[in-house]
Amino acid sequence: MTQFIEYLQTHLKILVGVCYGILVVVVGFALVVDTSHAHSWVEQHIPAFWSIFGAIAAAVIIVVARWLGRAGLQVRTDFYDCCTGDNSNEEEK
Amino acid sequence: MTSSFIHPSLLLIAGALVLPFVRGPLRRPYLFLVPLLALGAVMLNTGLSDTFGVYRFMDWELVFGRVDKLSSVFACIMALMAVIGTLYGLHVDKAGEHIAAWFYVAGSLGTIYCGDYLSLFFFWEMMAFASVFLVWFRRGKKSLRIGYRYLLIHTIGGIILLAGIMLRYQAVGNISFDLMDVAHPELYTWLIMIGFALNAAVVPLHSWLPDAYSEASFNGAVFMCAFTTKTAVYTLARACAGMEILIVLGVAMALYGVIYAVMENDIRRLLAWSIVSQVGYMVAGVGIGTDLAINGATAHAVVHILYKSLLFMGTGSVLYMTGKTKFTELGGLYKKMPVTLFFTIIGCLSISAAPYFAAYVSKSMIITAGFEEHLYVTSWLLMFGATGTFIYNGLKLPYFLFFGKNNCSDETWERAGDPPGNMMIAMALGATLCFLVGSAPSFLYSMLPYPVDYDPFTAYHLAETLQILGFAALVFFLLKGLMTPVDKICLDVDWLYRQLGRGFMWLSKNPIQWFDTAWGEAYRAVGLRSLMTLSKFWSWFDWHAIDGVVDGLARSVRALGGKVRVLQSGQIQYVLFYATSLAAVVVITFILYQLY
Repeated sequence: MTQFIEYLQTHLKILVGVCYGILVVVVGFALVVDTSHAHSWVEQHIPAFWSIFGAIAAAVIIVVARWLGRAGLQVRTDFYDCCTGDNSNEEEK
Repeated sequence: MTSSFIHPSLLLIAGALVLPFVRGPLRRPYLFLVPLLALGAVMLNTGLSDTFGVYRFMDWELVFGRVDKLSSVFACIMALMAVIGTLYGLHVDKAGEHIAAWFYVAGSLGTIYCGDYLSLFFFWEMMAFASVFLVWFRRGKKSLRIGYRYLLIHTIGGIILLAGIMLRYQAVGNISFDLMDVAHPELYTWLIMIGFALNAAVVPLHSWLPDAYSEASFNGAVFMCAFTTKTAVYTLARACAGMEILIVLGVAMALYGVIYAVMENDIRRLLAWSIVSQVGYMVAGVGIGTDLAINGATAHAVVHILYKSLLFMGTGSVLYMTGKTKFTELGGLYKKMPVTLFFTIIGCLSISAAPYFAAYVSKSMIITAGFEEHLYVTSWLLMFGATGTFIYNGLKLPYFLFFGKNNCSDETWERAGDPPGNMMIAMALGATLCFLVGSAPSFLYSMLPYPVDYDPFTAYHLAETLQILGFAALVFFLLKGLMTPVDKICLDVDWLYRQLGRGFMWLSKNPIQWFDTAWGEAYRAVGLRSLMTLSKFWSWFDWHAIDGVVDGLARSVRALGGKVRVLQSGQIQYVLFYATSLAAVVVITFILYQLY
């Protein structure tokens, strides 16, 4: 398994190409699949709707999380230590 | 107890009590046997459908064995999880860890099988007090403090639940644990729901979960990720199905957990946030309350226990082997831990609802139930959260842990490697079950509370899932630089708890302490002085009045004694003289009295 992963890493361009190819196949599949039983209008009438939804949702989640982290939700690891005396757990086994 | 019903909690409790006396080569077979017996008992109980173990206690009817489809399916997965969890920690020598875990499972199974609120409360608290030891047994510097925080929060939740139970008893006159009238909620309905919701880690009552689960021992976390929240989901499904506020709370959980998991640097804390998010789907399903939604919530609870325990076993293996849990101290571990990588990837695919893996057959049931009830916003937001689940759990976790930049120190890299055999067997078992449930869900569906009219293997569902996963993966690899973990912690509502605690400490140290000091001074200046004056008066009174009377009497007696003493010469002739004279006086007096 390790060797297979290293093989893929050394042939990264091929791997990326295959992934793009899979995405194209997925979109093609989405275009031909029967959407008449879909739950909502957008699913029925926007081609490959879930591709768009997946891409936008992922981008929004990543960007919003990044923004919230920078806005002050992410703080240094000893943030609470000054007042509580907390310290990191020692390494253990 | 009726002979046909065997309560698995009794087996686990008895097994836990005997465990310290089982030593040497018998220890491991015994460790494996006890949860296996409990699983066997649960499987036997599954064939029943009635109420067992009914006792009268004072005016109440206690029910320890309500067996129906809802309790059976939850009991089955809990008992199975006890077997997998014990197998994973089979090499742990400390009996206390196994005892705590088994009492924890016994509490969960007791809650699931009980039919009244009194025994529910007993088993509910047993879970809290047993599971805290799984945090303390990590024996880190923070463990004690975190354990107390965990216990404090669950004690508060228990008090809220107990208040609800008491108010409900006052209102309806019984303690039966059944579906409440959620369409017309009373105060006790809200209190009971909040008590259950706290254990389900419903936002904003959730911060105990990432706090405690990320700091539990490596095998303690495997147990903790399964029992508390899913037992709470069971209680919500039993008592609060159809309570609409749960839809809002469930969606909030699903999204809140996603955002925090994306920001998280600690691998086990990421998984803890993931629990918050995934339990959100179940809570929303309970809130929707239709047959399909309850089936979906139940099915998702079952598969969630399987894949989440597998993920905690994978990350627990990393912790066990390297002693590290932060992305910023790990990375590139595929070379050293390939088997762990393989099983973790299966867990990641399962939680991401990848086709033919566990959550593929459950999460979509809840979302479909939302669409069928025309709750479009709910369902869209849950789909949005599902995309996030794939981002942080299907991509971020394996990428930054096993691939990506290698942040390991030389010592960490040296220690890294696949874990002992029993841990890998447990992971293999979990991974197999994740795949089996996802690819052949008919057995799971047959166990659900209501008849299932749902097929996850439609072309449309497959296309929908592949599109979301594929394009979310594309965006992840384009934007992964924005997700690179940093060595920071994330502020959560626990910041508010801590601020409140700090405020309380400030109040204690400043105004309350000042008042206490002032009160002490005032007491000393006013109270003590008047008390001393009063004491002096009573001392004077005692000395001069009471003692005067007593001493005066004593002095009189003594003076009389001194007078009489002269009569006591000690010579017999004087004594006879005095006695005879006295007798003569008496006789003469008597005669004179008789004559006149």
